[in-house]
Amino acid sequence: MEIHHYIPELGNLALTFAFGFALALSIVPFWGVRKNNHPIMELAPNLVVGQFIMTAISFGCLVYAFATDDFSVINVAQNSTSLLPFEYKIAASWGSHEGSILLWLLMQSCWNIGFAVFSKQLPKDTRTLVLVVLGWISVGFYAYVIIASNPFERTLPYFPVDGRDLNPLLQDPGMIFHPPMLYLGYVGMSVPFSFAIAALILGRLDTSWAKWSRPWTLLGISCLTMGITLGSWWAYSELGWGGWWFWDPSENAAFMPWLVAVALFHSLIATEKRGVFVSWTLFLAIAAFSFSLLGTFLVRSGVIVSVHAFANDPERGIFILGLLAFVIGGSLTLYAMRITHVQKDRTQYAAISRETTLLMNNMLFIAATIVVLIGTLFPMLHKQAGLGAISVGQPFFDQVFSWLLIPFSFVLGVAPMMRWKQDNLNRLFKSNIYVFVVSLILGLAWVLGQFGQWNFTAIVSASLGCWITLISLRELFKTAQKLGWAKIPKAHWGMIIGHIGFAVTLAGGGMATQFTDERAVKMHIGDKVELSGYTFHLKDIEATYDSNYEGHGARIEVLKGNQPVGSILSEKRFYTVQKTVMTEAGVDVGFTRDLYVSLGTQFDDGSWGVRLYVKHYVRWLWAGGILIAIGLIIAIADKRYRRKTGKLQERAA
Amino acid sequence: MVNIRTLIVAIFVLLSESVMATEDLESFKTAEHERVYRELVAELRCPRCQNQNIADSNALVAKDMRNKTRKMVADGASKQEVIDFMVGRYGEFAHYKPPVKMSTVILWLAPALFIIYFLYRIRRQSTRFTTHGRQNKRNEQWNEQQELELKRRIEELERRGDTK
Repeated sequence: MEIHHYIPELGNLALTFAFGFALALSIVPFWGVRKNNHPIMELAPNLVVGQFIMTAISFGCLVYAFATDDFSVINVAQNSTSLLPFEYKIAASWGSHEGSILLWLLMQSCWNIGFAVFSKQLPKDTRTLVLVVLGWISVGFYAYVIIASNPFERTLPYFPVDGRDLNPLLQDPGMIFHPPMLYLGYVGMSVPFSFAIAALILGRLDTSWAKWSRPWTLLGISCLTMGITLGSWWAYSELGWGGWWFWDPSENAAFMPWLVAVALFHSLIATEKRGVFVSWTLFLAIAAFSFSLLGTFLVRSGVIVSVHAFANDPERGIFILGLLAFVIGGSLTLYAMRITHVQKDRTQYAAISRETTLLMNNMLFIAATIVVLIGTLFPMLHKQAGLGAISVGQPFFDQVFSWLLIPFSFVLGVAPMMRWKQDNLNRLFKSNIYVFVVSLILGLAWVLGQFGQWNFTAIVSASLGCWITLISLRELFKTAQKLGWAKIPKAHWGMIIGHIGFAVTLAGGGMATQFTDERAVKMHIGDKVELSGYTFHLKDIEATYDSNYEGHGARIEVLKGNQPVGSILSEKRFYTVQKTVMTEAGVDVGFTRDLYVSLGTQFDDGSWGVRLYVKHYVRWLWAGGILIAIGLIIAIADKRYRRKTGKLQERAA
Repeated sequence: MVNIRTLIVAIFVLLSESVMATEDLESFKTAEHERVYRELVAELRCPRCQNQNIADSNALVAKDMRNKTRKMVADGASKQEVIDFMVGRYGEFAHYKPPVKMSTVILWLAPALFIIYFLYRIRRQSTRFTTHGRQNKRNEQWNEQQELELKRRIEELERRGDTK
């Protein structure tokens, strides 16, 4: 046997070494902290480097096994085939349950090493303890991978000639970017979590941990936002009917940590600047990561039915449940024991103040989390209790979320201009009433002008979108007048961009749900169909193929009046290995509308069933998500964090 | 002239023929019917699929449910009537929004109770702020009186000292 046949064993070995490093990280430096022994504490970053290198080697070996079609590995044999296009062979590394948990570990060690590199300015005991807690989390997952879900298990001695192919649903560019980004976000929540645990253990429950953990929280949420946005975009293009959010349990699993994390970093602002809500913020830091774990448990264990539960297994579910119980139970116990040491908020604030608006933000985000959590778990409990099967889905969530979103968006509009401690309702009313009226008029004009329909949902979301955007822009110009454009803090830029991003998503979402024109028709080649001002002309049916599928695509030219707008190829593919038919929708992307074509089946007379959609403002949903992610990244670059750290270094020296 | 006009009409008819030749697979009498139908197929759940509404599912039962929905809507049934029919046939599982009853009310109640509790906490905190503020003011007033009193007594003492 040649050397490359041993690559999976090498991967396994590296994984075991990584586990060893994580185990050492979770014990040795902790002892160093207890004994206040600096040389031993110094070990922590080195152990993290070791853990990272070993995990990266292990992951590299898995990718190598996929890239070289090593079907002697069960994981490769079940999730890849020699015919799979190369980029999907790489992506198939995380297409299975085993591989995705290894990806999780790779992301975890990325965060660990990132933290080790960029935390040198922190007090040594805090820094070491954060790394130790990250080590504890890592140990749990390494143990899980090695014991219950090893991605390197062999099919030997009788290995198959070819593999069973990656689920065709996953063969999309989204598969390459969505899972790594989402996992980076999920795992990113472990850093503020570790900060909170370290603060609780050390009893250092002042506001310094809030300041230190804030940039990490921002980075984590940014990744999570991008991951969710990519997932939504992928669902839109892949599922063949243009849905972008279905309240599927797996979507909810990603949505809950996002909601809690956004609440967390807004609460962190108040804790850092005003020293309030210390215990509440600690709780949110624990909750954000707990929801990340809960999401993984829900999707991976198979307790809930989901399109994502492609590799569920009750035994693994029990392992993750144990891990979940340990992490959540342990951290909440610690929290309960130590929280009495937190000084009661002595800083006072009035009912009308920035503090209260931030609390309103937290209240609505956590209420939304409760809605999603109960909505996701309740059908299962209801059935288990013998009360019969029920479904909780889109109409329920739409209803409850609209109640939450309206007050939320309204408060979000005024929040950035509120003063700390106490503000004056009169002042707020006077300076905003005009903006409010203008926003209402703009929203009305937008919806009535473009669609000519009295649609309440659309008008409200458009108006609130305008409301948030206008106040944010006014806030930006005011700050620029005061400080000059160059001196506007990055954190302020981040907030403005992030809030406008939310406004864009809100307006786009409202429009997209309300204004989708749809037509299902039977078309012969050469037929023309009209839909909301566009003419869809079926030019031809082309043969399409790649190494692992063959199919046909409808070539559709779109005209507006006599003006050609675009050419769409909508495909139906037959994946030869898994013998499944997939619809690959064709989309003509536009700023204010998407033209979306989904190809159906062929009828006896040779005509084709075609479903045509004009989806208004659907791009805005993802544009808003990207803006939020960018805003968060810009906020991390704020000078404040660097200056503060500089001061710390001085103090340390 | 007449020839040209008939020609134009003929062309027009031909052109519109090519548009008319395509047959709508879902046709609706009114825009209202279409709206109700679209809402319904998005809200009704395919009973035999993993987690899909009947609009997106290719399962046979979903197709039957779509056809039944279209027929009922075309016959003038209201949205609720169609939902009631489907729930009657396939159980509460078939609708993505459970009915409000004792066993399901927690779905709405839990977030509502949380919000009420949270608002109560915010209110208590801010009343503490205002009462605290008032007390401070009272203290300041008291101090002013005290100060006047103090001055008066000092002056009195000084006067006594002078007389001694």
